[in-house]
Amino acid sequence: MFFDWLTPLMHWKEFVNGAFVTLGITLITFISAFGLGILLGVLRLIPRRNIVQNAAYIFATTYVEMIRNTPALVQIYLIYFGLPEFGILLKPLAAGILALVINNSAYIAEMVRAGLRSIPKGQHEAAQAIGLNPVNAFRLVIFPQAIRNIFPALGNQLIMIVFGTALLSIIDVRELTDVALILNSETFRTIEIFVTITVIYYLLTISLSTFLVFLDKKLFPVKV
Amino acid sequence: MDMSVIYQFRLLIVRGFLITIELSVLSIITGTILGFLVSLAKTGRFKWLSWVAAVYIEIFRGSPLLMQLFMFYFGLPYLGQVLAPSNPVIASFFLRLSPFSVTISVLTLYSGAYIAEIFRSGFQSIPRGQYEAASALGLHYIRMIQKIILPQMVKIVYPPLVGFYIGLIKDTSLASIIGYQELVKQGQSIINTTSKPFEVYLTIAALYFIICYPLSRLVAKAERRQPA
Repeated sequence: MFFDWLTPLMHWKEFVNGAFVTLGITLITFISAFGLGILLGVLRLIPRRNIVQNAAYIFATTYVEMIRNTPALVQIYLIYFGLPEFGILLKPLAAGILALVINNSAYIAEMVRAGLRSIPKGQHEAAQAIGLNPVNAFRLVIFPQAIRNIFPALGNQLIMIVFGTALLSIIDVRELTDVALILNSETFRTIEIFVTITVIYYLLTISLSTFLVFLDKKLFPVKV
Repeated sequence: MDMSVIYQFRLLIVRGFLITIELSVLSIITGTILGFLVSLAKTGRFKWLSWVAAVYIEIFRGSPLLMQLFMFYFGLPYLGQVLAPSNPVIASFFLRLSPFSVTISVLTLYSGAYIAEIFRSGFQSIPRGQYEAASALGLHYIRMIQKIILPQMVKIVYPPLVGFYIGLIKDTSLASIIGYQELVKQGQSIINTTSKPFEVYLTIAALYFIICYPLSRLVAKAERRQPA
């Protein structure tokens, strides 16, 4: 029995499909988690002057701490296997994406919070001085600078989401790791298939990283 | 919602909890040792050793942990067959791999790669003058690392390192997928008996929270003390 490198080549279509599913899930997850993360990060930074603001702060803090200190696998199981106990039945893809969004939104919330806190008070005061209301000040002055500061960390989180999609193979989502398992049980060419999958993941990671570095230079040419 | 099943199977849950702690502590220790050695290799004098370390780090940081677990768990017996199809000694070694050995090996290799990067950035954040002063004093490499570099590096490396440890403790839950009887797997056995997945997984999540939250408070406190 020798290595048979033709087997992964013959099944190239499954690999390509799996890679597209992985990328699609990654994109949807990142955009949703980014939006949710901004909301949560802002909620953790608002002044707690009345009951409503206090409740929002406590909700956001509890959410972020609970999600960050529990494993993603258990979160996926809770959503896919636990929710049907209350009558909420989700398809594997929907449950998987929901779990990934919830998980990554907590980490992105922490990054957004750190990014917003790193903006000097002078920026807030200058925005107010030129007559911008708080919403526009945030949208036009504070937020873009915060994103510029945390852009590398966001890029790293995107790579982590790519690796997180591998967890979805357990609940039968046809992404790249699941393709590897299925092909393995069909052809039993374990090492050839998994080496190919490793190479594909590595290529995905490298191309995403390179694209993010390019995007960083394009969007934020000047760094403070 | 029926939490009484948790009390009914409390011994199984406690056993799984202890096994998870054991697995976490073991892989933290072995991963840190390997990561430290690899970081020394990467920042050392010998170019070829640095290249080997770089390739190792790229491989284990460039793919998902779950996929690495599957590759080792399904691939090592296959490798044993290919390399020594007629040798029964080698074949029996490869075919008798337990989920525990595979999990420990993969977690060590995985965490070694990430910890090596953490230590490497720690090494590079020590000012060049320290290294030059150490060689001016006549200290050889190991003494220099031990007496001058490491004591300064500990404070810098501590937050990202403990942060990674927290992630590693959560990643031990993946061992349940290849059948190792840690907390999540014990919980799944309970679910097979009682059909109460939400209560069981909620309890498992709470137990992981109890382990990880104090550690993350430690990291937050350490990060606040640093004038970054």
